[in-house]
Amino acid sequence: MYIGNLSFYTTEEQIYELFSKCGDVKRVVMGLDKYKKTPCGFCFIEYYNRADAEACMRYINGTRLDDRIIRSDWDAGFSEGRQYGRGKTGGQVRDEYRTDYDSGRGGFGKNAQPKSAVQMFPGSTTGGIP
Amino acid sequence: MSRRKHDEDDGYDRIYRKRRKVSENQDIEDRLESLILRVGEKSTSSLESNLEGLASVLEADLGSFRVKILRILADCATNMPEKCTIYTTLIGLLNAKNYSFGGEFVEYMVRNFKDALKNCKWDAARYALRFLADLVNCHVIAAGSLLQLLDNMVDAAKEDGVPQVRKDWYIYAVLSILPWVGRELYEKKEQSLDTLMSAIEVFLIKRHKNHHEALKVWHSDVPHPQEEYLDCLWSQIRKLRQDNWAEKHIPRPYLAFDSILCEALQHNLPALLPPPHHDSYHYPMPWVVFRMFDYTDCPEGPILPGAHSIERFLIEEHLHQIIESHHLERKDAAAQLLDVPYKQKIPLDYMIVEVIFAELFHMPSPRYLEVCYGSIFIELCKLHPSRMPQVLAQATELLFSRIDSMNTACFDRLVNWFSYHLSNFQFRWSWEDWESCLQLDPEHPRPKFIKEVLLKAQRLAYHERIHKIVPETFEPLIPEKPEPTFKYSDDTAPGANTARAIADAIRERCTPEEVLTGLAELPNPRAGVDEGDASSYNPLKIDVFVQTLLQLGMKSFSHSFAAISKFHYVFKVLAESEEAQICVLRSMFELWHNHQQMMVVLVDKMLKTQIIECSAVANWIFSKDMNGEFTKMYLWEILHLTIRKMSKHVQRLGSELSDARERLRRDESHSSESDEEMGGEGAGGSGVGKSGSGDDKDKPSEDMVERMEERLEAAQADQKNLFLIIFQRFIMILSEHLVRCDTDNRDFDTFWYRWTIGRLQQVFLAHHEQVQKYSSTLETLLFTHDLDPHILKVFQQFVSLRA
Repeated sequence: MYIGNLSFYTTEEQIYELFSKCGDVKRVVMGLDKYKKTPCGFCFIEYYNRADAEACMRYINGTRLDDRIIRSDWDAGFSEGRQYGRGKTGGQVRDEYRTDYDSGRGGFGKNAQPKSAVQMFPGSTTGGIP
Repeated sequence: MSRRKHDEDDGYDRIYRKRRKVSENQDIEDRLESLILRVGEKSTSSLESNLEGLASVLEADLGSFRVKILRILADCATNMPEKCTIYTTLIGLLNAKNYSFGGEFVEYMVRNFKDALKNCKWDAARYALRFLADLVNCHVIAAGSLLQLLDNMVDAAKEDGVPQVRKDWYIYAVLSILPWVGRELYEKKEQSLDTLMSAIEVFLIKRHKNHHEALKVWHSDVPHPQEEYLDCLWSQIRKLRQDNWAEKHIPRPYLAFDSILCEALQHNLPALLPPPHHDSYHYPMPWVVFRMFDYTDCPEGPILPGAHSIERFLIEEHLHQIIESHHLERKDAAAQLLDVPYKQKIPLDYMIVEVIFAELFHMPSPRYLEVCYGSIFIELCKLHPSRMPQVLAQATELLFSRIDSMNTACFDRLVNWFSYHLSNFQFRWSWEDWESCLQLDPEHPRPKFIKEVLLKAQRLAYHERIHKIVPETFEPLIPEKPEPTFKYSDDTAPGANTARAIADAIRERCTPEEVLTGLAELPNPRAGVDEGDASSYNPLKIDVFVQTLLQLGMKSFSHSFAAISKFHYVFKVLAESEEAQICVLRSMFELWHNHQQMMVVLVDKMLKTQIIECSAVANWIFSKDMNGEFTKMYLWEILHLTIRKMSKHVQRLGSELSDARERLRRDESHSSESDEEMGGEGAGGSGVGKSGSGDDKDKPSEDMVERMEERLEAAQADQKNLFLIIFQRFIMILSEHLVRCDTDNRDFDTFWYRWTIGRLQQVFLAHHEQVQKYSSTLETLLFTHDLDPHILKVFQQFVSLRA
């Protein structure tokens, strides 16, 4: 399963504790910033059987961990490389464009300043800035 | 216009009309189903006019859709027990219009009832019986005929040589339907009803209740007695009888149609005898009625129905049913619970909370995952934010105040629930209110509860947070910082040099063999010890290796798991015997005793990778070294995960074996078939397990099946051995304690004793299905008559659960 909206500070231990309530956890793979190799707010969880994963969707999805409402989703399966964020700056893509301030996820999004029309569409005749 | 079209497309139109008729039929069926399913739901018209209208529609359609209508109605009767009286009214109206349809329905319903009994579908059977009973109220079935059926069921309770749980169920079923039909039977057949009640009373007096103690949530009966379920229902029915069977809670739409219905002819039920007992039949286990509130706990407003009022029974049953229907959708469950038709008439929040805790604390184990109930509570708080959190807080206070006499299994569940619940609400709680418990013995359930809650809260959060959520005065109960204590960081410790060398080597990515070489120089403190029992191991090597390796992996669980995985070979070489494996556990404990969660996952991992055996874990838990940890929750978490691993292993081998046997049997019957035919391509075979050609690799051979049987037998022997070890160790330490107290003339009933007896009981009940297989061995070898009665009692109560 994919687990999202975790705090950057949420540890593997916390994840084990919460998700073990639905069954034996086979493995936890923490999602990491591609460059810093630190947790960047998501992870993968594997259960031994499907019934336990279903229980996770029913009872843990949408409840809190580290005071944050977390989300669980079915995932096709972990493979090497998927533990890294795919955002330009190394974290998750959603943190690139986030405009709110989230202290558990590094504060403001990486692109907190919205780009101007000219910067987004170079060559446009509007805006007038060379 | 349409006529011209008709002339032009004559041929096509004919086919089109035929097709349309078929799909029209389907449409009508769907519409009928929808109408039937939805009757009774919120509507602009009254229920009576809806029922009247629907009855007319159905009567008109009986010609073409008789069977379909019959089936839909019977399904509704079984699957929507909360709408029982709505559907019985509908059947009543139909019966008044069409006597033979009424008869057919009754027959169909009776068949469903019999099938449910034969297939051990106890709830379905009870709902079917209830429906048949209510049909008496609708003049569809004759009262005398129903009484005959009830008499036959009560007769089943007079049989000898059958399990009491069977007899219990038949009595329970009869009692449970009396709220619906008691009044009618009283008016029409008072004497027969009295006879029935007397027969039931005779049975109830004679039945044994040895299981009662084991199923109680609290040992004490103050303030609320934990009533045995049949006793409670009997009291409730007796009170109903005292009130002349006047029952006001159940909605009865048929009352509005009395003039129509009493004109109808009634049917007699066919003679129905309960199917005889079969050894393969499993009957529901007894339970205890959980009560935590009485009317004084609820604020001003609608009164909580008394413990022996029939309303209490009916409402509780309904609320449990809602949880059953919606346990897979927590938001629906919460919404449905809060939206019952009688919500204004009772303190609903309190009854919901009591019913959910009843399920959470149900003995031997809750019906659903503990987290299911926790998440439903959270949804309820979301839907009723101004009331539900307060009721839950009040409930928690109440449970805490009575925790002294709570059984150990329920204590664990309360700890798990409370810590989980708090973690969803920023751990906000009025801890100061509980400050007085700091004066108590730390083994007293109250401070222990707080300590264990904080430990669990730490797992869900982190150590520093715990300091922030409780007042400073709670310092003694705050958990230790979950850090390793590595003895070999002290250079003077024997083996420290080797430890450092090994650590360096591992960091340089050495091989397991190189680690073994590195350890070779260590002396064996056991050298000179009699090696007669052929278990040679070096505790110093084990200690240096295990502590060093696990210390290197301290950063996270994943790091530790990777370390264990990489050096699995070293573990296998160093720790072949059980004593050596216990050494491994001891070393792990020395390093990680302040991080309970780490120890739990490490033991789990080592069991899974077969570095240690289940029996080693069991013996380690009961070893003298672990005396100081003996009453801590995490140690029992470890024991139970160990037992579960063993049980799962046995179950898996068992189902693999029966699958293989089944495939073998099918293949054998197939190959005998195709031998008779020409060719042999399995032409006669209908699919599964082609003989000869194709799936040879899947086809099990007799040899394979035999080997699987051997493996299963070996696993079962291991499982039996594990239980024997555990129970024997319990008996030893408890007997020792009792004897010592007796000699010293001290009271044996210490906190330690209560926790330990509680843990013994928990093993029996949490794993009762597995333990049961070995009951007779346990009785012969361990739980003999000369055992101290306090200990023997626990075993006897366990046995009586299925007697």
